Amino acid sequence: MAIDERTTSQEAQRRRTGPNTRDGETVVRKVLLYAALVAVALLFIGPLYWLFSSALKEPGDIYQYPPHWVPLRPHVENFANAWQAAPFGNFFMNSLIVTAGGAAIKLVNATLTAYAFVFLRFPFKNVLFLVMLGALMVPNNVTLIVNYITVSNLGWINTYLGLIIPSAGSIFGMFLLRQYMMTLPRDIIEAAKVDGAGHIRTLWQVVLPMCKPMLVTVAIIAIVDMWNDFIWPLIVTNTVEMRTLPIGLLYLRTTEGYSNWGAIMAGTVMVALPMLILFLFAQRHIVRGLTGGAVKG
Amino acid sequence: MSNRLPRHSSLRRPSRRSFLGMTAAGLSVPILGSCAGGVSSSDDGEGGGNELGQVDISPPSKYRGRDVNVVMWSAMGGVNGEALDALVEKFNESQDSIYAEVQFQGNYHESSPKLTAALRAGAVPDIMMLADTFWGRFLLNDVLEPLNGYLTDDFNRDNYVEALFDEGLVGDELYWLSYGRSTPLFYYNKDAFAEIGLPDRGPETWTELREWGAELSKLTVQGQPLKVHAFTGDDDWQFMSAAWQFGGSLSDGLDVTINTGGAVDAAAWQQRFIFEDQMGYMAESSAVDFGTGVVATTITSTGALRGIYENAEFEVGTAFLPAEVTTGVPTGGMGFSLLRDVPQERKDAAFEVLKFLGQPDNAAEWSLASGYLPIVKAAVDEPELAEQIAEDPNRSTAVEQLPMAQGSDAIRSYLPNGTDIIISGLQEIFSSGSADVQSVFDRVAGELEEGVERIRDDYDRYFG
Repeated sequence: MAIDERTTSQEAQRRRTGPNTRDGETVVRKVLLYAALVAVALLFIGPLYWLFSSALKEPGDIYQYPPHWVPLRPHVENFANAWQAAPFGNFFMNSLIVTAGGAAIKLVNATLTAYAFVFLRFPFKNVLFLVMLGALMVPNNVTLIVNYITVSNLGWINTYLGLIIPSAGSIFGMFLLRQYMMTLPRDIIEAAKVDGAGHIRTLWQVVLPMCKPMLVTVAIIAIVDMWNDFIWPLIVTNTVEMRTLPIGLLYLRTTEGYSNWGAIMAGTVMVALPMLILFLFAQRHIVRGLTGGAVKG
Repeated sequence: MSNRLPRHSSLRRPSRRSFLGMTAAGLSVPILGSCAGGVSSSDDGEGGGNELGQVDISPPSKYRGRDVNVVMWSAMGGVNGEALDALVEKFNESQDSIYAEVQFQGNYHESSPKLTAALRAGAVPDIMMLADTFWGRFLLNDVLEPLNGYLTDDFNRDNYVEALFDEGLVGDELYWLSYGRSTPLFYYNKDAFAEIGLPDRGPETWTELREWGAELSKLTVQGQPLKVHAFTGDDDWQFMSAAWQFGGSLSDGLDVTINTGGAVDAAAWQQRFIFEDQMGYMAESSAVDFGTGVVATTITSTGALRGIYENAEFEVGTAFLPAEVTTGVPTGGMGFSLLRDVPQERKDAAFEVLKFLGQPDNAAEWSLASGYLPIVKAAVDEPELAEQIAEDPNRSTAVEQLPMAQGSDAIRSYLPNGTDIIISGLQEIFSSGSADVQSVFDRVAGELEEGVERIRDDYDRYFG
C-alpha cells in the first residue's frame, strides 16, 4: 500500500512537472543519440579516412606516431607508382567486363528464378526451393577446387567465361527477390491475367516495376560481389592479362621483404572508390529494398 | 611478414583464413590418386604414364613459335617479382628455342593450393616456386621430379652454397633447387645503443640482451618507454631459432618436441621478457616497428634490410642471432621444383631456365635486387655484389652468419598446417602473461601429433 501511494504521488508529481521534464529528457536523449551516431560513424569512417589519407602520404609518414592526420603535402606519386608497378589499365578493363557481365547474368537469373518460384505451378517446387536454399549454406570455398576442375575440363581457365559463368547463379539474390515478389498484391497480378497478359508481359510490365527497390539491391550486391571477388579470379586466371583489380593489389606486395605501403594504399583506393561511389548513389534504394523485404516477407 | 591485404570487404566472401584452412585440409590427402605407386625411379621422364598438360601461356609476338614454352608459377610480388621478371626476360633474349613466362599466383599460401587444383585438373606449370616449408608436402604426394639427372659437370652442387643446396636433397636425390633464400638477422638501433653507452654490436646471448634492456628501456620514444625487443606473432620462424638457441627444437624428424626442454624454456623466457620485464611485445610487423624506431631491436629476415633502410631515421645495425645454450640460425625463403608427370621435353627446357637463373652473374643480379642471400658461390665475386657486400657491413652479416644456418625442423616442412598450429600456440603465450607455457605447448603438440599420424607413412617412404 505504502509503495503504491508513493508511486502514485511520484507519478502525480511527474504529471504536474510533465512538460518541462519531457523537454529535458528529449534534449538529453537527442544528445546521447547523436553522440552514439557520431561514435558509430567514426568507427566506420575512421578506417576509410585512414586509407584515403595514407594513400596521399609519403611511405615514411604512414608509420609516424603520433599519426599525421592530414597529409599536408599530398604525395600523389603513390598513385603513379601503383599504376606503373602493374598493368592496372588491364586490371580495370577486366574488372569492368567481369563485373558488368557477371552482375547482369546474375540479375537476370535471379529474377527469372524468383518469378518461377512465386508465380508458376510445377511439381516439387518446395523441395527444389529448399535444395537451392541448402546450396546457400555451402561455403564457396568448399566448391573451389571442384569448380576449378570443371572449368579446366571445359577449357575455360584464363578466360572471361571461366571468370563469369561459375558465379552466374545468385541464390541469395533469387531469395531476396522471391520474398519481395510474394508481398506483391495478388489482385494486381490477377487483374493483369484477366486482361490477357502472359507471363513475360506480367513479369516485364507488372512485377518488375513494383520490385524496383529490390532489383537495385540485388544488382548492387551482385556488382560489389563480382568487383571485390578475390579468390576465384586468382585461381582461375594465370596470366597478368586476365587478372582483375583485387589481384592487381597483390602485385604491389613484396614477398618476405618490405612493401611500399603508400603505393598499396593508393592501389586500394583505386579499387575501392568505384564501389564506394556506387554505394553512395544507390544507398537509398538498398535500405528500402532490404527493409521492405525484411518487414513484409 | 604478414600476408594480409587491406581490402574492401564484401558480403558473403569466404575469409582468407577459412580458405587457407580448407586448402590445408585438402593437401593432407594424396594429391594425385594415380601417383600412389611410390617414389619415382631415377630414370627421368618415366612418369606415371600420366602426361600432364600445360596451363595457358601467352607469348608476345616476338617469342611466338619457339620450340618449347615453359611456365613458371611464382609467389613473388612487388620488387622481387619485377626482378624475377627481368631475369626471365633476359633468358628469353639469350636464346631462341625456349620461351619462358613467369605467372604470379599470389603468395605461397595462395599458390600452393592452386598447384594442387592444377594437378587435379591435369594442366600444370613446368616450374613451381615453393617456399622451404611448402615443397615437402608435394614431395610426400609424389608429384615432384627428381633433379639429379639434370645436373651437369659444370652445373651442380659445387656451384652452390652447399648447406642451402643440401636442403633440397632427400637422401642423395635433389627435388628442390634453392633460389631466394634468407636467414633471420638481429637488427639493432645503433643510435639508441650509443646513447646509453652500449657496445656497437648485437648481444651475444639473450641474457645479455636482458641486461642491456634494463638500460635501454629507460630511453623514451615519443613519450613512451623504448621497447627492447619486438617478437613476431604471425610466424614461427623466429621462435624456432629461439628454441634451437635454448637447446631444444620443434620436432626431431616427425617426433614432436615442442613441449619439451629448450622449446618450452625459450617460450617461457620470452613470456617473462614481455610480461614481467615489460621489455618486449608481440609486434604486428616487427620490421615496420623497428624501422620507425619504437623498438630498439628485433629479429627479421635479411630481405627486410632494404626497406628498413628506406624508413629508418637512425643508423641501422645488424648482428648474428643471439645464442643462449647454443647457437641457432634457421634458413628460410624459396626454391624451385619441377613436376614429375610433365613431358620430358618441357622438363628439360624448364631446367634450362633454372640453370640460367643459377649463373653467377644472374644470381648476383637477383641478390642485389631482392636482398636474398647469394646462393651461388661465385656470385659474391661479381663486381657489383662484391662491392655492395664490402661497402655495407650489414650486407655481409648475413653472408658471414650463413655457415651456422640449417634448415627448418621437419614438422614445419611436411605437416601442411603445422606452422598454423604452432603460431596459434605462440600467440597465446605472447598475448597473456598467465598462459602456462607447458600446457599450451602440450596442446599444440597433441594437435601436431594428430596431423603427423596422417603423413607418417608417406614421410617414411622417403626418409625411413
